[in-house]
This record gives sequence, C-alpha cells and structure tokens, in this order.
Amino acid sequence: MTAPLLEVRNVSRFFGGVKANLDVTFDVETGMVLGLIGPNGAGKTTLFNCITGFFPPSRGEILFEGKRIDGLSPDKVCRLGMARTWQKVRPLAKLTVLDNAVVGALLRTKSVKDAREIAHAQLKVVGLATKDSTLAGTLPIGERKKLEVARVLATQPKMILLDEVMGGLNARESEDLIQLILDIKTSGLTQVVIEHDMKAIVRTCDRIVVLNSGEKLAEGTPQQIVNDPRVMTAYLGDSGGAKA
Amino acid sequence: MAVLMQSILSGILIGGVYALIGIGLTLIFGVMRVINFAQGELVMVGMYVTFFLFRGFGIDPFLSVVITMPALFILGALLQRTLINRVLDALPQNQILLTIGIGLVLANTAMLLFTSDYRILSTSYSSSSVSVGGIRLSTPLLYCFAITAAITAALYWFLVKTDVGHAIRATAQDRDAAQLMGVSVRRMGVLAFGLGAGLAGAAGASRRPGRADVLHLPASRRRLHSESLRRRRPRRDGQHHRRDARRRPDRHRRIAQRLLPRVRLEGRLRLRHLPRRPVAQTLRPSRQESHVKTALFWAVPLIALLLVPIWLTSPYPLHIFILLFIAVAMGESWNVLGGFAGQYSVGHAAFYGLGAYGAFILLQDKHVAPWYGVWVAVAIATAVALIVGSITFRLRGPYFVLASIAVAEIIRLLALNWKDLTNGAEGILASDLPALHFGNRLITDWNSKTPYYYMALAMAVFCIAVNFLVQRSKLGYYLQAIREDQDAAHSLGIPLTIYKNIGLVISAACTALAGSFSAFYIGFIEPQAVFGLDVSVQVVLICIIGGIGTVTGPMIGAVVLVLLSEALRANLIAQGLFHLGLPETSATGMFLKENLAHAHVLIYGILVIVVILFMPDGFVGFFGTRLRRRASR
Ligand SMILES: Nc1ncnc2c1ncn2[C@@H]1O[C@H](COP(=O)(O)OP(=O)(O)OP(=O)(O)O)[C@@H](O)[C@H]1O
Ligand SMILES: [Mg+2]
Repeated sequence: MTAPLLEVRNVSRFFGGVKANLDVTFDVETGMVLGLIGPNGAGKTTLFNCITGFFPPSRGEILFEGKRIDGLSPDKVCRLGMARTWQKVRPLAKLTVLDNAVVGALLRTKSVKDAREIAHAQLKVVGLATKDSTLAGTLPIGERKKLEVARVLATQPKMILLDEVMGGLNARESEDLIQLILDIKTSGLTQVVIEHDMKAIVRTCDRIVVLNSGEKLAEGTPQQIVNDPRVMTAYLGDSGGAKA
Repeated sequence: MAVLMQSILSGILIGGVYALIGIGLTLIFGVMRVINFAQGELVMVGMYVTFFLFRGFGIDPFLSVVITMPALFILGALLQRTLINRVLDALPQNQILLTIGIGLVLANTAMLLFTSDYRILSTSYSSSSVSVGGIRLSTPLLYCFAITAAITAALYWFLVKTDVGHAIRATAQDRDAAQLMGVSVRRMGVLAFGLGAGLAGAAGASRRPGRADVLHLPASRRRLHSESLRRRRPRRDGQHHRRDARRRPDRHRRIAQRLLPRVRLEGRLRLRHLPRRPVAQTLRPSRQESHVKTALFWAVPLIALLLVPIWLTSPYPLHIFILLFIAVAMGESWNVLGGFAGQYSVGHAAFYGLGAYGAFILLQDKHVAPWYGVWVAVAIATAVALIVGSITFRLRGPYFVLASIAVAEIIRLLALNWKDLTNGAEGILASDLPALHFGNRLITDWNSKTPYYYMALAMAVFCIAVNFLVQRSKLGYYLQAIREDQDAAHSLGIPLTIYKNIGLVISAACTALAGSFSAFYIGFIEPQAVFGLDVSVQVVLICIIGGIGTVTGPMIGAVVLVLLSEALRANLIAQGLFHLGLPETSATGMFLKENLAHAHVLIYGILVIVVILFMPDGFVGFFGTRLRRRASR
C-alpha cells in the first residue's frame, strides 16, 4: 500500500492560552473524501489553516506526499497541489466570475488564454458557466460558495480542502454541492470537507474525523461515527453547536 | 560633561511637547484605527490660536492653553463628525488620504490667510533662564514641560478613573465588544479625535515660545517653493529664450486666456471618447476583434496628438500638453502598484525625485547626457524601491503607506543636507542640454518645445502601454487578486511579497523616468519641488480622481488636474467669479485675485477630501455606474 497523501501528525496550535488544536493525528488516502466535523469552535478551520500554511502549527508535523509542509507559506503549499476554500467566502469582488477562476488557473500556466480555458471548464463543473462575466462581488451566497470551489479546482490540485461549502445554503443549493462533491470524488480528486450537516457528511464521506475542543474525539467510517455515543454528547453538550 | 547633561535635559524638556502630540496621535489611532496625518497641522493651528491670543489680547502663551485646547477639541470633534466618521469602514489607505487632505487644507488655508511669513512671539521671559547646578535651562522650556506634564497627568486620570475614560479604552481594545456593551463607538471616536486635537493644540500653544519664537509652518516651505517657481516661470515658456528671465508674466497670462478654451475643448473631447463601460477593473475578454477595436480606438487620438505640433506652434499650448503627458505618465506609473495591486504609495515623490536628481547630477558633474543618465537614475530608484518593498510588504495593514511617506521624506532631507552632491536647498539649474545625434544626423538641439512634446508623448504612451500589458497579463491578474483579498490570493498560490515587489519596481522605474524628463523640461530642481509630500499627493490624486485600477482613469485624472492647476495659475477661476458678478474691487474679490493663483495645494487638499468621500471609485467609477444604470433602465 502506498503512503497516505496527507499525514497530520500530533498537530497542535495555540493562540495564547487557547488550545485551538491539540495533538491531532490522522491520514488522508489518495482519492478518498474525509469528513471533518465538530461543534463550533472545535478547531476545524484552524486545522485547515495549519495544513495550508496560514498558521504554522505550534507543534507537530504535516506531510504531503511524504514531504514535510508545515512551515511552508500558503502559496508554496498551493503550488504543491493542495488548495482550500474559505468558510467566510473571499471572492475577488471587483473581478468577474471567470477572472476569479482565471487567477486560480494561472498557477499552472503563464498564458492568460490557457488559463481562461481551464477556468471556463471548472466553472462548467460547478455550474457557473453562464455567469462568467458577472462581477464576483454581486453573486448571491450560494454561487459565491460554488465560485470558491471552481477557483480551487482551477489550480489543478491533487487535494482540496472545503470549509463548510454548504454553510448558509438552502436545501436545493446544498443538494447541488453534495452532487458536486460526489462528482469531484468520481474524478479521483482527494477531498477533506468540513461540514455541519450530518446527512451530507454521511452521503459524501468515506471516513470521518471528529474534533472537539481542539482534540480528535473519534475517527471512523460514517456508520461508526453515527453510532458513537461520544460524538452525540459532544454535539449535544455544546448547546449552540448542533446546527445539523 | 555639563554640555552633555545640558543637552539631555533640554531634550527631555522638549520631548514633553512631542509626547503631547504623540499621545494625541495614539489616542486617535487606538480608538478609531485611523492614522491622523493632520496632527502636525493641528499643532500649527494651535500655534496660530496662541499667537493671536497673545497679539490681540495679550494673553500669555502658557495661559492660553486653557483656550487653545478646548478650541482645538471642538475643531477636532467637528472634523471627526463631518469627515472622518464617514470613512471609518473604508480602506485604511483612503482614511490616510483623507487625513492628508485635511492637513493640506489646514496648512494652506493658514498660509492663504496669514501668509507664510514667520510670526515671532516674544514675552518678557522669552530669553530668561534658570540655572540648576551649573546647567542652564530656559524658563519657557521649563514652563512648557510643567504644562505638558500636568496635561498628561490629567489625561491619565480621565482615562483611568472616569466612566467615559473607561468607555474610550474599551473601544480601543475591541470596537465590536464595546459596541455590544452599549458604548457608542462613534461618540467615542468624536471624543478621541477631539482630545487628540486638543492635545495637539496644547502642544502648539506651549511649543517653545522661547527662543525659536517662530511659527514653524509646513506650508511656509511650500510657499517658498511656489514663489521660486514663479520666479522661474518665464524660462519655462518662451523656449527660444530659455535663458531670458525677463519676459513679462502678464504675457503668459494673456496667452493663457486666449488658449485655454481650446485646451479645455480637447479635454472634453477625450472625455467623450471614454469606453461605454469604463469600469475596466473587470478584465475584458481578449477576443481577436476586440483587439482590433482597441487598437483603432487608441490609434485615432494618438495620430491626432502626433500632428498637434504641426499646426500648434505657440509655446503655451504645447507646454500644457507636455505637462499633461507628464501627469499621465506619472499617474499611469503609480497605477501599476496603487491601482492594480491596491498598495497605495504616498511617497512616489521619492522615485520621481531620484529620477530627477540622478540624471541631473550625472549631467552636471559627470557630463553624462540625460538619455544615458536617465537609466542610471531609473536603476537607483528601482534599487530603493526594492529595499523599501522587501522590508514593508511583509507586513499587512497601512505599513507600506507609512513607509512610503517616510522614505520620501528621508530622501528629501538627504537631498537637502548632502550639499556637496545636491547643492542643498538652492537646487540645481540645468546646464544646456547637449544636442541629440543619431549617427551623424542631428535629431534635435532642444531649442523649441517640439522635441519635448514628442518625448513627453512617447513617455506617456509608454506608461499607458505598460499598464495595458500588465492588465492583460498574469501579473495584472495577480496584482488585482492581491488588491481584492490578500488571503484569497495567497491561498491560490500567489507569492504576495514577490508580486507586490514586481509591481512596485515597475511603478518606481516608470515614475523615475517621468521625474527625469520633467526635471529636464523645467530645467531646475530643488528638494521640496521634487521630493515634497505634495508631489506624492498629486500623483495619487491623478489616479483617485480618474479612477484607480483602470487604464483610462489616470488619463482623465491628469486632464482634470493639469487643466485645473493651469486655470488656477492663470487666475481663470477668479476671472470666472468676476464674470458671475463678484465685484472685482470688493475685498473678497481682491483677495481671491491675489491669492487663488497660489492655492493649488489647498485646492488639491479639498479635491482629495471630496473624491475620497463622494467618489472613491473616481470619475470612471462614478460616471461609469451612472451611465450603465441609465443604459439598463
Ligand atoms: N486567529 C485566531 N486568534 C485567536 N484565536 C483563534 C484564532 N482563530 C481561531 N481561534 C480560536 O480557536 C478556536 C477554534 O476556532 P475555529 O475557527 O478553528 O473553529 P471551527 O471548528 O472552525 O468552528 P466553526 O464551526 O464555528 O467554523 C476558537 O476558540 C477560536 O476562538
Ligand atoms: Mg470554521
């Protein structure tokens, strides 16, 4: 068996006294969809920030394709083939939808013309092709989330990290995104998704890691996690946490 | 030893005054996260109030603090209520520009009203001193320190012990949390700005009314500069008599009056040629046909401009065109960094001046012809840009803006004091330019405006082309991504510092080129004229008036600014007011006629404020959205 695509080993991240992540360890195999769940403030986004280089971990190691990436800057991590979306979407507001994706695509090419083609293809994948000349800042939230995904896909990554792409969407939009994640999975791209909606997680993920107060609480197949009593208490114990 | 102690003690005493200014700044920044660039000007206002209280009512400068502080508090609170409050949520660079604008208005209003003469204030104890253990300390300085200390203590008490003080500190720590707790953040802002201004006023009132006794005006330098410019003006025009300094300025005024309408018309024509969807921050798809269209669109005005010197031979309109081209080149240069990458430099005077001084000194001392020297100057400017960029671009926030201002200021002081090289404040007068040969053929001996015209046109076209190329390339996309959202850009694989540096270097190099050219055109440089803050502000203004991050924006901004400043110079505005019925012989009329011509910087300041508050996207954005709205109706 080959080495995992991503290895997170004993990663901790502290903000002053706050332990946002504590000794988190898990692997992500090539081609799988890994779900990362946990109540609000569990440290999911912080973990993404550590993996993608926005905050170096206070302790621990992160390996991508067997090579250490902790401490690398975000642009280098992205160049290695790992791209993330933002929970609080960050569209390039005064650029068009197409140009947003073009910025992503330019990572692998110098030619704006080629980048346009790549970008356009990815917009088709997420279903935004008809909106390509709209200003990104004027999109409604559902489409902004899709744009985040298209932009990330345009960087032609080996792995993508999706941070609550369904957060704040209605049922139909969520369904679109579940389909999108499944389509991407079929294409063989590895994904880590943060999501609060358990149904969506169970439908899309091969494996789930549960975080609580910064620590890994449980890990397993969706079946194992759904039936794990500790996971239920973690969610119910935190009254504001269970959005699902 | 005694000398050392003497210096240290005096330093501490004077430091007290600066502490007041600093505390005011910190208070404002802490509570509102706005860096107040008008603080120095508020100090100046404080000095004037003190001076007039002394002159008019014989109130002792130290007593007058009691009046000066509240007066400045009110002024500050008013500024905050009416202006600063509107930009609290705007980009930090816009906030900085706004306070710079306020500063320019304050300083230049004072200059208009009170002229730039030094005001001297002497009291009975002005030159007295006390002696402590062999060390002499001037009495005014001691009083001054005592007052400063008292005010600081009072402020401390206010902030720590009173409820309002608590609220202010809470706001400073966490604006949102304070708001949730029921603190009116806006009110705290007003209070903080008022206090900050009040402290500046106190500092102004107590600032060494002893020996120096001088109202040190930032504006006074500017006035001196415009004075010296005026003295030189004749040389700028009649090119055939470049050395003849005795031509009567009236004549130019007359020429100006005759010719300006035509120039204005030209301006209007260009405005009408605007693309229908001018908010070009969206990158247009580069289809083949659109290339052809764009090329045609730009070819027509370009050919027209190439033909201009053939039927326009009088120097004045050519002069206007040359100024316009220089302004376009500078605006477009700034735009690469400020417009596309969103990294506002308010210190482009540094690169402009390095270009000017570099090429000038090389010609003067080493007899290197400008067309070679320019490239050395450009290289120097590029190196400076790289140093500044590598240090400051790592930091987020307004650091680059601050650093850019500081660097320009440092270089200005260097130019002022490194007299062997730069001739200090006296500046350098260009010797005659060597004739330009190509092989054995004489291209030009620089004896008319025409060669300058074509050089300036070429330079403007070059800078516009650079913008076009940048906008349509990977670099342009990356810079714009950085402008829109640095974290998003970073997460998409863009190395932020490298790309910002590339933008800065291109921008600095083009600016240095423009600086060299305009220095040779004017024929004279001195530190304030090329490194001064108003030069930097002017460049920014060109872009924000027109529209930042667009290729057409700086062109429009340049037209507006050049025509405006020429109109001011030729006193067209006062003339216009007279036409509208303002009696020319009334007091106001006389005053305007006398002063409006020198009020550029004041007008720039007002423009900055108006543009930042009402059309942050510039003319292109302002009229663009309006046009589109109408079209879609
Ligand atoms: N930049 C930061 N500085 C200080 N504390 C931070 C920072 N970022 C996150 N934290 C803290 O780390 C903890 C984990 O936050 P994080 O955003 O990772 O949670 P999350 O699991 O993504 O929550 P949510 O489901 O609400 O998105 C929180 O207590 C948060 O306050
Ligand atoms: Mg999160």
